[in-house]
Amino acid sequence: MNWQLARLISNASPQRRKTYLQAGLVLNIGYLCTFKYLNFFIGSIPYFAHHHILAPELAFPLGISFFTLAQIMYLIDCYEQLMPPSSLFDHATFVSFFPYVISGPISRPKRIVHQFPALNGFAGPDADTVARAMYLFSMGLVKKVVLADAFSKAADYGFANISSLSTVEAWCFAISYVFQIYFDFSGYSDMAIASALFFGIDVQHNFDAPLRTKSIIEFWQRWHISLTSFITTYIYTPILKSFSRVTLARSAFATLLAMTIAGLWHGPNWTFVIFGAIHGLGLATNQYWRKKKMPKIPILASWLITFLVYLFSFVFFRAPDIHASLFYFSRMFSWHLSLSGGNLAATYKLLNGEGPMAAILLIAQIAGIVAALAGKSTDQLGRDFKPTMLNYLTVSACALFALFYLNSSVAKPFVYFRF
Amino acid sequence: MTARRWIVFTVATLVGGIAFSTALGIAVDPYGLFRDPTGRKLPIYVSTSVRRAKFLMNKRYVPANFDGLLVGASQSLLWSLPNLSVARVFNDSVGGQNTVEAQYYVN
Repeated sequence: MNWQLARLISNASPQRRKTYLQAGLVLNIGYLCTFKYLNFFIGSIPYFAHHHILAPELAFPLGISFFTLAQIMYLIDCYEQLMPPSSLFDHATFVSFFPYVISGPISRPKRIVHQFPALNGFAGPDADTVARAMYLFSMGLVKKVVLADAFSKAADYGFANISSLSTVEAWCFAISYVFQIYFDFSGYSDMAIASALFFGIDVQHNFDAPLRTKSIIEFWQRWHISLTSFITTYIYTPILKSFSRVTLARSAFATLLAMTIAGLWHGPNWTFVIFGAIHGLGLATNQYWRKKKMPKIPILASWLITFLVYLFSFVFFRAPDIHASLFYFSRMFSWHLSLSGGNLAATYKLLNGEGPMAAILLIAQIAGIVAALAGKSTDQLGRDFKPTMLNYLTVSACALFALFYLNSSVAKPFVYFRF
Repeated sequence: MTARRWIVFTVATLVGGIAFSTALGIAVDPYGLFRDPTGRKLPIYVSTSVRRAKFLMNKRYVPANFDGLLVGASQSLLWSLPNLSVARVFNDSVGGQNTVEAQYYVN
């Protein structure tokens, strides 16, 4: 349907083109809403919620959040004449290309589709590309299996035992979740990019050391970059264009609205809406601060403020509902400051046993914090990659370490697989 | 080093590592899968998945060394069965176990 609509868009008169585009957008967004948001919206209306009137609970088609965006981008890029409609085969390949179909990176068609014809009669990527892909993949695997899963053990324990958390523990487990989701999603993205590289397809990178950023604007330039690019191009800019005159207040409104929509895109839950709204407010404040040339904040303080903003937003992101997230905040900001660490000790003891495994978990967490805050990003490492002895040892060590870790621990599913 | 040579070295190291890991697993045989486990005493390591460990032990080790099974969830998980003198009973309880999962173990 989308492929045919794109062809109609490119051949029709200007007025018709717009109609076809609007029809395409309604169909795609309607499709997404039917599977993902119908019950959420119905349940949010007091009358329906009171009478328990709900639509049948439909299972999510695999990767619906991501391939719907891919289809929307395809239609808009054809409408904007940024690219000609491709063949049905290329269109299907673009939408369902396995490395990114489940959880991204959200790839723009004009970046990907033109690479497909080169695959016809293609003998395979050159050795340099394969070596770089192996390097990236091993990095992503270690990020997921060793680092993210080490943090997830702590975060899962904390969010499952909110009522017994002390103030210090509540902060520690929330920080653990920030590191978990960073390593989990960036590890997945690295592996997805590497998998595409094995086919000679160059996919946009998705993370660039975001936990080191000193402003929320910079954070979104480095966190889930492909989503930021989508929000900016396909949500924020059209909202802004709809105003006759652009002012700072209108720009702030567009930012808030775009980020709230992006928050809701993550899932049918008010916690995601609040997550998006917090980032929207943060971005709007950041824009205002820059435009009005307010006094500069010291680097460490600005890093800390930024960190706190996304830390609080991720508490909403992780908690199952608003009630649980508010309860979690009540532990973080308890009037009776409690420093006990019984739950922290239990995390290491109960979930991992004492001795070597507890030590491995702790080492992985320390290594993760150092890598996230002081190390180079995987994207940068991938760009600087050379087939040297050091990199050979790094890849071998990473892959074997990940293998042993996979074998001695229970693998956790990727966080973004549920979106 | 050329990229081609680098790939060959890396793949060879990974294959070697996986082969070593597999050989080590067969030699140690922590779940009693690869040779006759009669008379062996295998601990259930808390560092691994207890579910996986008990599931794999039920394939050969448990039938060869025990007369009965205690199936249940966390309530029976901590029962100390070696104190039973009348029969050798293996504690197959796993936290959160339901009847469907228990049937897998029993079968």
